[in-house]
Amino acid sequence: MIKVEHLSKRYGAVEVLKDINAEISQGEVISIIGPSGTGKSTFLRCLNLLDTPSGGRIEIDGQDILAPGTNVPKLRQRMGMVFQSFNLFAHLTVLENLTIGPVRLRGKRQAEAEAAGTELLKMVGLAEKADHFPDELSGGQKQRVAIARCLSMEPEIILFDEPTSALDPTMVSEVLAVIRRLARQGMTMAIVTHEMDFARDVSTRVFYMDQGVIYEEGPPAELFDAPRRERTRDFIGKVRSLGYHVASADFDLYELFGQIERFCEKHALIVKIARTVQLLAEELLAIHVARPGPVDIDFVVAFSEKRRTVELRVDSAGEPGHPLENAPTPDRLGLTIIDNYAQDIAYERIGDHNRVTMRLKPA
Amino acid sequence: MTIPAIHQSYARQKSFVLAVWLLIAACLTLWSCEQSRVSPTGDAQGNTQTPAQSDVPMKPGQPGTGNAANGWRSLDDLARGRIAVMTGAAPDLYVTHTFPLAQITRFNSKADFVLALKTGKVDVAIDNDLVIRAIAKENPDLAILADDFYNTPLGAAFRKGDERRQRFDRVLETIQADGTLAEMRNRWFGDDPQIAVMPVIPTLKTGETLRIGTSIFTGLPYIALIDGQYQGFEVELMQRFAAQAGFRLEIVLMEFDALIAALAVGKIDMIVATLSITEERLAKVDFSKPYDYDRSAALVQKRNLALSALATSGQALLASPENIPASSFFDDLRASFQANFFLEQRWRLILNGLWVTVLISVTSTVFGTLLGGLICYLRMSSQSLWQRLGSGYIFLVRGLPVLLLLMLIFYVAFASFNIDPVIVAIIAFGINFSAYVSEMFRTGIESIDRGQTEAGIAIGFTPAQTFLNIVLPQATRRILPVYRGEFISLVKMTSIVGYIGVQDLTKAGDIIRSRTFEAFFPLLMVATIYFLIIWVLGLALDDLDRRTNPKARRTARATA
Repeated sequence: MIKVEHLSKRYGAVEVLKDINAEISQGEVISIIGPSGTGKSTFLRCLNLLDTPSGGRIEIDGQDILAPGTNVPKLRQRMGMVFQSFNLFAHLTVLENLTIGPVRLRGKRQAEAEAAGTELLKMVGLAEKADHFPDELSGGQKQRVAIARCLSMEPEIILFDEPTSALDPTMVSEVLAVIRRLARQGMTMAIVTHEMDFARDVSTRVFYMDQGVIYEEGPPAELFDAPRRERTRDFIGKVRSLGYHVASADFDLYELFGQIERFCEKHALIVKIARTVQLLAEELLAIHVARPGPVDIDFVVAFSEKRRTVELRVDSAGEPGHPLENAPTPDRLGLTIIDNYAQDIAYERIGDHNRVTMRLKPA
Repeated sequence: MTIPAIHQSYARQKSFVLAVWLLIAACLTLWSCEQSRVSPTGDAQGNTQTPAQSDVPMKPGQPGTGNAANGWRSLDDLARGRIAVMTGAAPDLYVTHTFPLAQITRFNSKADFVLALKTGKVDVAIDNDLVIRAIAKENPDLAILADDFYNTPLGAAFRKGDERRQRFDRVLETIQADGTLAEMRNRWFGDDPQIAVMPVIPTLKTGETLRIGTSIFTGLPYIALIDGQYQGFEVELMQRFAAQAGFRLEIVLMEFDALIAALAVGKIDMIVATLSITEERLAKVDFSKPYDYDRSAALVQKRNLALSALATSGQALLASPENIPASSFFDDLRASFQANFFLEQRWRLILNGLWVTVLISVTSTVFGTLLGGLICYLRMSSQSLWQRLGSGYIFLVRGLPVLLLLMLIFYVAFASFNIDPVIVAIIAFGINFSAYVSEMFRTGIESIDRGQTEAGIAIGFTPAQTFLNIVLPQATRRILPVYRGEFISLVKMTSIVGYIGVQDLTKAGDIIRSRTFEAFFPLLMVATIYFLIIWVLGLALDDLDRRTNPKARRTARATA
């Protein structure tokens, strides 16, 4: 039904979407998950051209919607969209929110549209609010009206852009229940969400997006229980990480210390761990910057909320070889310290990088 | 509370405000009547040392202070006093030159000039002696201090090189030779120009139009608007010239200080407005041969005049306090109303002025709103050229006083077009209004969260449909309170259209004042009418407010 090829989107110099390829068929429920700022919403908004893609192709039922001369408003009538911030029309009653589209755009008679609207309101459980205004509703009620408003246009697919992110936790479930019901009725949907349990049980397929691409996709069972790729694993395992790039032997160690301290505070790690991570960062980087060749090092602190473990990773460019095993003599002391704190240390060669991964002993 | 009930209470509130306003107006009128009654006897502090009651010989007035405690004898007593003159007229030059230490106030309207004297804002008013005598006759509390201290010729002004000047001079010679001019002088410059009857001079209905600019504020015997007809010596002169030279006469009424500019750009063909022939003016325009001489006279409050001076000026006390019949406040009010509203069909002036004010206000609001919408569209465009065009326009128009904008459009932009000044006023006020409301529209539109626009577009509305169906109804409601304020200030601003010769409500009031020399009643009457206009037109905006209020709509539906 929808086919996306090499979709890209940039805002000025920032490339939000790099190379998106995806296909969505009739009746599918796609959940799109991933860290913040990786282009999930942009991807969704490109599908109904609320954002204009910078490159690539989007086909709907074989028709290229980016081709000039496409009747875009007509196209959007077939694709509903539910927003994070509801975006109900504030000057219209709940029922009028549901009838304005069908009456003005699809030429329905007012009475007919009202009857259909009332049916939809019954379905989302808000028939008695028909004459209320949006500002008289709770967040959950607003979002249910927004879903009903989408349905009033009888769309072929509904795009949900983080439909529960702006809601109080107590209201999330009433909205999810409505979406679940639509899924059971076979509505085609694409849902950007942070509700992992919901994504797992409602979707037919899950897209994990990271850094502007669909990094991994698959059925929910597969993606959630056995992610194939590292960042997916980190994300599913609720891994929080701090990255720091070192480009010179004279890098600012104290800036890094500050970042480590804030990172640990944010994730409620005790001060002792923060000190340990700082010490290890100093020793690991001292050994790495002393190696011959240009300095190009990525240092990562990763903390898994699920397992409560801390992992340090150092990726460095250069000739193959375990950086710690070839360390020069004065760093013996450093190595001893590292060994002392490590649960285990692993080395692998990835492309042109050497990677040292060390896991800290549990505190 | 149902909507009709809310509306009623709202209306009650409005009537209350109206009642309070009328009460204030009535109090001021009462006060003014009291003032005018006590003024012949003494000042407001109860100073009873008036010439009539004091039999102590008067000491000469203290020169240089303007202090009237001992009375003034000659103009020299006022060398440091406060002197009122008409802007740009011969006395202006004379006083500036002769009394460099005096505090000179310049007026554009004779009514204001007399009022300033009567209320003690100035010590002395200097102008043409015939005009001053006419004023003194109607105002028993004023008296002439000195006269004939200078003498300047009056002439008709033409654009440089205009051959109509020679024709005017020939006509002037003819009527001088056949005694018509002497007859005219007898008619108008006699004891009471008020009772002079304008002769019927055949006027041409066809032929080349001759637009003569004049200023109503000269007053009788030169020119006045009585019963909707121009009357006076200069009017007769204009009519005789037009009839003999074969022109179709059109009298254009303007502010005195706008006359020369209007002549220069061709809005009028000549000026007949008690204009003194001066060196400075000769540099800019050509003058006809003099048709009269402007002799001077200085007018002061009678109680400030030294007794001896009073005797020499040959004027008896026309009304001593005892002679003033006791009258009630309501009698005074009725008399004022009679004089300022019914006499000489003055209500027609008011009615016409009212119509012009409403016409200009409403039309320029509509025009300005549409133009403002366009400017707002430019301003919010994604093209930086349009954006800059829009903000440049706003910057320019808002930086310009609206009076200058009005004059620029009339005298510069439309200099060579014979265009109805009412249309010029509509354009000027529309342009001014558009610059302000376009920014209101922009903030109003921007205050509607972008999400609703996106939702509208996502449903399948085009951007224009989204704007009309979603954004506009909500923005309108938010803009309305400030828009209403801007509209009210527009209505009041239209009172400056007199500068380009439009007779609006304010001007109608001025014309009445120029005849009655009464300040308070005409001013309060005009103020009250402005208040009513704003109130009535405001009701229309209230209606819009109600109709765009979604919740009121729902309640209305529920009660229906």
